[in-house]
Amino acid sequence: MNSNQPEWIKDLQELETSYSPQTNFDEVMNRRKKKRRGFIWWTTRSSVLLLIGFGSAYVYFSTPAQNATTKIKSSVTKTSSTTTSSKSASSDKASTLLNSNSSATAKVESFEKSKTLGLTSNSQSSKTSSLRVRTTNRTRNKRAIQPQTIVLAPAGSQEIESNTADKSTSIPTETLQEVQQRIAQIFNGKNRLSRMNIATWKTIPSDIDWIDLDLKEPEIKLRPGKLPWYVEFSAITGSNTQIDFDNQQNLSILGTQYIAQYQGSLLREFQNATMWGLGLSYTEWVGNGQWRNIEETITKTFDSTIMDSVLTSKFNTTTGMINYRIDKISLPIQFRFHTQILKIPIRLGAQLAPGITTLTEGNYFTETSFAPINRQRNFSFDGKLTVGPMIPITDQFTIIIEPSWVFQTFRGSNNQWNAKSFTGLGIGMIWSLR
Amino acid sequence: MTDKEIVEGCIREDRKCQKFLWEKHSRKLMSLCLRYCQNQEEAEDALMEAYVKIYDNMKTFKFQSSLETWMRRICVNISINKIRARKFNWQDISENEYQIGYDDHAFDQVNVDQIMKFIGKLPDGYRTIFNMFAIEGYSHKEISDTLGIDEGTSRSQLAKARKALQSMLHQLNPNPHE
Repeated sequence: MNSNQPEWIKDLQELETSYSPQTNFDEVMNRRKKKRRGFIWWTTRSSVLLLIGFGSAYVYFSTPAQNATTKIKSSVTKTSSTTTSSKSASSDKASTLLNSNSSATAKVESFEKSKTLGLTSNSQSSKTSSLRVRTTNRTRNKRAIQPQTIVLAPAGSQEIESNTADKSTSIPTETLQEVQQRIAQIFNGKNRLSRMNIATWKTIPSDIDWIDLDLKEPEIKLRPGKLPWYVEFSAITGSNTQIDFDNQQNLSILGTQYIAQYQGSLLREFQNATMWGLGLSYTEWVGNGQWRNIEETITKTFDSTIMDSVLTSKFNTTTGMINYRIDKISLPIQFRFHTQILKIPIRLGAQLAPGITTLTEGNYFTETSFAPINRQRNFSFDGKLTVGPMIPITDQFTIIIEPSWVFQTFRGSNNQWNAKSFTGLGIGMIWSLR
Repeated sequence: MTDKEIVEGCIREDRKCQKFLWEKHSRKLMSLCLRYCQNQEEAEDALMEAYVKIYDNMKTFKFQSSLETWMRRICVNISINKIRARKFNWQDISENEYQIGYDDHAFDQVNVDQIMKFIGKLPDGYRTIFNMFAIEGYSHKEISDTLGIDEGTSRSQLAKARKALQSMLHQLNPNPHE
């Protein structure tokens, strides 16, 4: 302290002021206890919440995900087939098979040695308008056979297995209508394979080579599967530069402002090639610049030549450096749309991120003004638009190069919102959690 | 009890030493808080918060200054945080505006309580800078570092504070030489 201090300052420094009875030593100690308890409570609560979060995520993702967006898997397994046929029929070892492909005619064929056939996802685009059922019975045995019992149940295979080593192929005429109806239901999607339980195919007439079934346009709808989740990490940098002083203004500022943003997100795929997600991002926003202030001073001087006073204008220019830094944490709500341009997968992204500043210091500047931003916490709000190519590395891991436009705002000490936009480039890495 | 004994006692969480520290300095620090804060309640809150911080951080005190100076610094910081929560504005003025005539000794004849009232009437920005510079002895550099403002802003706020105090003094005593 200065020894030349006025007395009143010394008096102020030594001044003692009483306080209310509520302000006392015990209250201070209570506050300390509460602060410690608060810290312990916060730590415990955060740990529990984290554990619950990770536990839930583990339980959720550890269950096998079934993706039916690209493939619909269902199967028809013939688990038992009991037939009694004549000697010649039993030696024939014919089996009845269903075969569906993308051709205009679906056939039900019986092959002697074939035991399986594929019902592939290509059947989605099948334009089958009629169904031909061919029965192959080389021996043309017309003797009646016992009913076959076929169990149709969903499973994780695309194959229809026909375990009909020594089964007859005769179908009695009285059940033909039922067969037709059932097949029609299957191909029209009204009665999915996965929903069928037990069907009793009694007999098929052995003397019929082809049965033409008049079917409607197939309408096989795929049952939507569980859509996958993704984890994404991205980093982006951007800049905004004010190149030159504004000569129209007394106070003018030029400089460059940068942002670096690091972000982690959890995204969920939805229909129509879109994703929605939520994340956590940390942004560093730094500005470095130079200010110039031109002050005009008008002085009054006496000019002896004209014997009168003269006003003289003089411009005084001062310059200096200016800088600021803002750190913030935000919670981005994200939207992604996937498309293709020239066979290159492209991702369009948009996000809005409310947040809070964790550090504000220095003097925030625009082109013609500046204001100190004190070290205080305040709200912020950001937006980001990105578009860029996706580079798949593996089935589950993809890199995205993202040119971006970033909009950053924060609320200043005087409750005004300050905003800047940046152009930048980022890189993202995305993992599928399927 | 010496400062060293108090500090060691507080580090040991010796309640007697802690209470002694409270009894010894709390009224003086209350006066300090009251100069920064807007009202009695805010000042009392700042005082208790400061003591919590003092007790919690006693281990960090390295005897590089007196204990009282260290405690005053903590009180100033806590009080400034309280003021910041209200989000006051720094009103900048041009360089030549603070070339005003001002005499620190002009207040020598004025009662301390009256000066406290004057200071209390100042806007947040003026009051903070005036307290830090004129009474606590901070330099403009330290003020700018602490508050995150320009040194120029600090100077201008101080000049305005002085001008406002001068004006109040003038109203109290229009002709001081009589």
